[in-house]
Amino acid sequence: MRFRALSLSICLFLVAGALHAQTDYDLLLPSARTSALGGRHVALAGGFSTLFSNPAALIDEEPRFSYSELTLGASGPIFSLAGIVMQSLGGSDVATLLATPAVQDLLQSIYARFSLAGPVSFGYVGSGMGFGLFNDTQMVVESVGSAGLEIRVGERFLLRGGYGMAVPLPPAWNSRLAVGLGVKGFVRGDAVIGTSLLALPSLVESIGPDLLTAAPFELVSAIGIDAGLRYVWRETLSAGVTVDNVYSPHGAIAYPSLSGFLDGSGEPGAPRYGTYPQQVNVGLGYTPSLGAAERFVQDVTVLLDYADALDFWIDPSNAENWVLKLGLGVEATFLQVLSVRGGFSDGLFAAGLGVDLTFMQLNAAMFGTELSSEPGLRPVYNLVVGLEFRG
Amino acid sequence: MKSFRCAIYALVALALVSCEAVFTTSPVAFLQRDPENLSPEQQITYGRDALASGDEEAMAEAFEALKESEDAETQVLAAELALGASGLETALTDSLGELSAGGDTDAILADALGSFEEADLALMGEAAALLDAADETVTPTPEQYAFAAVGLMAVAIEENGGTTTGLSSGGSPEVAKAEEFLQAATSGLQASGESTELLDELLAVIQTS
Repeated sequence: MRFRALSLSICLFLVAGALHAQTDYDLLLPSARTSALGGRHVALAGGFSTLFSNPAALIDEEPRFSYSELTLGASGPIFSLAGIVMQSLGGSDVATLLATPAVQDLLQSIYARFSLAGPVSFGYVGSGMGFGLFNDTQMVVESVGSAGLEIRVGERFLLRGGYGMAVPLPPAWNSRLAVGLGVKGFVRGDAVIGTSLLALPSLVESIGPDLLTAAPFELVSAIGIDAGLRYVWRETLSAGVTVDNVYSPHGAIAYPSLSGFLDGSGEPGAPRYGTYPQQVNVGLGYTPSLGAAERFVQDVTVLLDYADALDFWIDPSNAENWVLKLGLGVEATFLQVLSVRGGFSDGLFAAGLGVDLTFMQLNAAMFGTELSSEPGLRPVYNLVVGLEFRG
Repeated sequence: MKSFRCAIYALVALALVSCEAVFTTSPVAFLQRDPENLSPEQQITYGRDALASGDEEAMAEAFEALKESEDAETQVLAAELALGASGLETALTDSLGELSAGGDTDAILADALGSFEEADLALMGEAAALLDAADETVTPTPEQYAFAAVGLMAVAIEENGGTTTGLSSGGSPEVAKAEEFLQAATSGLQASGESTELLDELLAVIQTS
């Protein structure tokens, strides 16, 4: 029994409050098409996603509105988690289920994320400019330290805008050059619930509004400026360079609880400030002419990028393995309706489909992402399905 | 008809699970950098990644790269890596699961704490030494103290022939250090207003042996 006390003691210490600093100040939005293509590609003028890739490419966008979208995303061992949920719904005792070695092993180094982008996705691109207002909701479950677990529930509003401008070139060059400037900003609120693996069953039983409103709350905001350049030769080859976060400060304020933030009774902690490191991205695009075959297959595009090329100099402590920065994407559209996509980024494969239904686009992607700075050390599976209402 | 539908569901489930393996298997994993060749800052990042990954081999490599650090915070990270690489945390969480499933308590826990090899016990000893060195500059968390204490007790139990009988802080430097860590953990929990009941039980294992 002394052994039991020994073991139980260790795990029961791992309780709420083991919060770690939020570092994922992501200024992007989950997109099924972008994900299936192996991430962002700075040489691509790719519809609304251009707002997030290269402001210089806005010059080549046809006028288009975005009215709304619903993009569902799930990351992590989602099938294993779904199995646990199914067993629980099938009548298994939650406490017993969560305490089984297989589930404990799964939770010990877990990273799982569920997100919903939209319904706010309003914006316009065309005539060299673009803007968009988006929202997304996400829940992240992540192991923290030895046997702690953190559940982060957040809501974010994101604003993006950009302007691209053509640079005149001699007509004999058969080329186009554009430069662009992008602005961005977001406000996000995160409620953070900390627990231990052993306390998880009681947490599951206490799920309700109080659990969230009593959780520590963090308000994060950021603004930023991006710059881009894009060169197109004979409408076949393109090259792009972007500098993300030319200057992008961010700040965070922690409150003791979400309810304290909402009713103004919570005393905020001292604000924390910082700036995002600059990211220099380079990319190439190739769009071959298919001749007569274009009746059946359109917009075949091959893209190759090298992201955050100077991180070894700008942000050396977080410099990634070079192979994680490579992004390869291939896309082809059949009969102007069905798009087939494949990609490789973060040292992992990606694939996806898109269907253009005129008034909306349905996109889906399966892909891997690497959470660490080395290939294969902490890979995560992702599934994204999106309905985009654009015209 | 029902069996046909079940077969379809099973095939879809199999396809999805297979997809998970396809998209999380990196064909370029062989290009991982040797942590020994990274800069000190990158070694710390690698150590944190390894800890989060739960990969005991990666944790052992990161520990080897960081164990000579004289920075107190890095020493704490290295101690966590050593405990993770030793398999102590996995053994404890697995045994907790088996206990909750209603297995034989003494047999399960004896297996868990008696299953460590010499190299694992050496890692636990090194983890405790690093934490001990670091706590003059930084304050480790109660959890870190408690895990290191359990590691030391596993070492002491192994030296004691696999039993807690006769363990005392007067007879073994490991047990004395474990008791010190447990008291530090107790102080940490008391400061944050949390219950120390279970820590007290743990201390009683040493003090009443």
